[in-house]
Amino acid sequence: MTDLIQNWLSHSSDIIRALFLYNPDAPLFFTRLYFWGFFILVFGFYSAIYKFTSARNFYLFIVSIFFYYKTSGLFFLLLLFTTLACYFFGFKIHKSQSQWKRKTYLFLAVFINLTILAYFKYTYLLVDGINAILGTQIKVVDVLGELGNFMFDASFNISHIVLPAGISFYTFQAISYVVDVYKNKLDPVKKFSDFGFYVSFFPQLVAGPIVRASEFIPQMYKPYALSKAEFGYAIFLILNGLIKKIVVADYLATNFIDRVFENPALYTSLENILATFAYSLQVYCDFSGYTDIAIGTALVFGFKIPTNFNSPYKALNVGDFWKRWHISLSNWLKDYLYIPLGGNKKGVFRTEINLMLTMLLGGLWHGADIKFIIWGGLNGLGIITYKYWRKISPYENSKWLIAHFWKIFFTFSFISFTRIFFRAESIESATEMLIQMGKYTRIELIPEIIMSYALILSIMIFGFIIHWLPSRTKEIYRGWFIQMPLWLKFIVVIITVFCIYQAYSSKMQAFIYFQF
Amino acid sequence: MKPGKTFLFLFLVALVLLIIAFLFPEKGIYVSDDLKLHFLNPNKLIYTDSSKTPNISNIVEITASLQDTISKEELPVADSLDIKTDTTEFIPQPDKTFNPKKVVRALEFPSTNDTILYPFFRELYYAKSHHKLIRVLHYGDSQIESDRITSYIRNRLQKEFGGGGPGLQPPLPQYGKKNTIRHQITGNWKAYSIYGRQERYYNNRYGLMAYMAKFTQQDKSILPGIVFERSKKSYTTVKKYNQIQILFGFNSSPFTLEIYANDSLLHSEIIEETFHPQLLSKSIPNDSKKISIQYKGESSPELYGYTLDENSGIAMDNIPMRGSSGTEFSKINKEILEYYFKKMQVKLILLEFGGNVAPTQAKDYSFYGNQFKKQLRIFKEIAPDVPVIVIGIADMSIKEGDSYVSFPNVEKIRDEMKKACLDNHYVYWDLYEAMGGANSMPQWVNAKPSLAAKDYIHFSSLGANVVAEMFYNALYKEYNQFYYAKINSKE
Repeated sequence: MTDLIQNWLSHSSDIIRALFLYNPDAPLFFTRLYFWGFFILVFGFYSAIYKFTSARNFYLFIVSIFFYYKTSGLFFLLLLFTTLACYFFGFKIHKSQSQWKRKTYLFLAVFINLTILAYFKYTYLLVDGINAILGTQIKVVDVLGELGNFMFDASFNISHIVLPAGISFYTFQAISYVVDVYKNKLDPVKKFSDFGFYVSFFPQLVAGPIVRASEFIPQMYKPYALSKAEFGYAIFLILNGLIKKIVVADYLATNFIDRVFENPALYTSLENILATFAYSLQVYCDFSGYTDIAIGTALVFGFKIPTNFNSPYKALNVGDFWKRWHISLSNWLKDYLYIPLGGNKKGVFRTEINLMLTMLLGGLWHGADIKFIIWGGLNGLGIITYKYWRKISPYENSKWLIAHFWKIFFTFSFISFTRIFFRAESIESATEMLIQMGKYTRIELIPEIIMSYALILSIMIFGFIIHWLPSRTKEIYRGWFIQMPLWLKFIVVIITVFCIYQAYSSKMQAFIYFQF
Repeated sequence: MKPGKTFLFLFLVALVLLIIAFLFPEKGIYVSDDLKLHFLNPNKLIYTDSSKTPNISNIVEITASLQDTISKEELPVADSLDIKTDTTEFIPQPDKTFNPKKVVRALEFPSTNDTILYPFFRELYYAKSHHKLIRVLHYGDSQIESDRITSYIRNRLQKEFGGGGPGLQPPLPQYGKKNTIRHQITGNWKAYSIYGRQERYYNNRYGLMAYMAKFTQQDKSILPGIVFERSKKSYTTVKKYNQIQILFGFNSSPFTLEIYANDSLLHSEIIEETFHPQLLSKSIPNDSKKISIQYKGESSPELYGYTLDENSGIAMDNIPMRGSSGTEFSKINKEILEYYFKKMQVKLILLEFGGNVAPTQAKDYSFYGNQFKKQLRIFKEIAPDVPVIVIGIADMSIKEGDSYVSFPNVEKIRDEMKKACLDNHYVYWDLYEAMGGANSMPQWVNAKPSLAAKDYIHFSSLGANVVAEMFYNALYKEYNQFYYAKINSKE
């Protein structure tokens, strides 16, 4: 113990740096111990001031900005800029009488937001596209970084553009605010710090859910309230999220999925197929685990954030899947893209086009690469094909259990298949994986593969079984936890954290060669 | 529930977890061989001392320079062959910009002889001007699959010393897709190899690739054969070839062999029965984007591979042997190896193994050292004048608690390989030290862009290029010494 304190004292300046300064190698994620220390400390002070609404909102705004600084460094200035711009335009839109002025301000707000997003996210894609078409050799230089160097004598690396964390989420959130003010669904927020708090609230800042202004802002002015059941629910969600993220997603990724996607040619057909299904589980547990933690921690502060996932792999068709997957994004795209494009009000053909456009752009939102557009496109095709298929399918209204399971399995397989393009390093790598799936069957090795991947397969089966449990069953065990007396909850939390740490620190699965 | 109570709950959870962390033994609690319990290390709670992690700044520098060159020079010229034809007066001049300080890790020679590589350098020097084709064989384990590492070294060598083409190709496409050249087979084939899980052949007649294939006449409507197509993604040097060689032998009845270039028949020949290894060479037009070979006959010869090369300069062959530790060469029929080594002008052999020994747990790795030594003696016996460079085991990690550390036996294996190599008067290149030594692999994995895969064993394609660049620089430094020694002796 004394050694430890001495060690800390001798490195005190490093420790202070680690605590307060941005370190690109250690961004502030929910899986880091630092985050939980931060969360408890922030909540400790919050519990002293929670009765004073404006102080409370201001405080959460400041800590959220610090959180963003620890995650993304000086990009917190960009976040402040986006916030300021939308705050300003919200007022302007509200105050302007003439329709064209309102439209101009709305246009400017959306334009600024999308330009920033496009600059950071899509410059490379655009420049590569131009170079490919025109045969030019244009190189990307970070002009914003250069401007910063010029103005502040700073030393930003300008050779490439770094994507600020969460920019896709908070930009969309800010856009939803100005659009809602424009549509008179909402009065503009009076205080800048209140608005800043809405845009940057740290639990959902970097990975959503995308919270609507109309849903969140009224909560900011209500007194703090958290029932015992809500507290239990929040803790349950946090633990659930950590298990999903660390025990299932991260374990499967490092020990199996990443290896196969990095070099599909090293693996047999069955391993490639398993990795594809496992990736579906990983991406769900990763993302929904993160959202669970976001919802849980926000709830502890007394704020309710909408659910983002509803057992998506129980979907019966692709359209159903998108109503259950990343719900806040699907709704955002529906309300701010699909419907403004005309939705389904302009005839069958236009509906199809609008749907396809929404899915393609939705794909592009996920990342600046042609493979994300392909992924979005395949999902769009899936939705449209189903719309026609359901008219002729004899099983559409069938109550037969096998038909029901088949629909779930088929939808899940289709979604997993499209994700090959989402996850693969490149289109070539995705094609290679597909070739490998078809060609290198090596049936004689299947029993041995199953034996060797026993642990990986058990975790996959565990994950899928939990996912496919009927909602009622899930409610039962969640209810148990919520009903537990505090001391028992306490013990459960300690034991669960200990077990999660075992998954985190477990040995790696040995490398296995099967093909030869 | 009042926030004060919630805070107390959270605070107590944190406190109890901290107490457990302080009480929990740092090395964990052993439950069984498969299960060891760990908990937070209080030393790493706030801050981790980074001074103990190896410094790989030189590797990062190489990566940056490679990315730069790749974007500037090495963008493959899609489907065009606007490469200058080499003049007959080609004498390679050493690159004057070469800075020996760039060498991260030099080659190691036995103490008595640091000119082992001179015969190879002499061949390199004269290859192009004497219209001679010489070969470098690069054997390795899964680390070099898909032409990784080899392709980069080949490109550097061919640019510097002349030559072109992807080199030796297996009779059947082996590990998925290759960026160097595309293969497709027709008809039914059966493959055998001396390594890994493939079926063995009863008489151990494998060729240079430790691999052999035969066609089986199950479906008479499709002729057995193979098609090679240029890959748009390969280096420009690789797209340039004007000769094909077919390595085969031991056909009990005659068969007809047909070679097509861009779908027109180039050559047709009846091959009589033979009980020896054979090598058939044919020139092919420069613009052959597609080369196909077809076989007509009742029974198959033993096929060992094909080469696609320029007819002079240097050819470099990528020979991955998945799962192998490089201890199978002694089991291959010597007559065949010897024949091809001589006939095909093999002038240097690279052996890159060791990774597949690491998962075995032993106190002493002399068993591996002895087996490896035996292989080197085979090379000495069948190709006494050909130098061998052993590229030793790379760093690879296992997880200890929440961090990745080097396999405990990597250094032992490295020492055995090095000893076997230097004892046999061959040259050693220490890849493990070149990477940064102990615990360097996690840094390769976490580098941006990543240089190694998440299995903490295999390099990424960029990482493979970094390794190749380091190796090439080490080799080039020796070549420079040879070159200036030669000039001085002339003067």
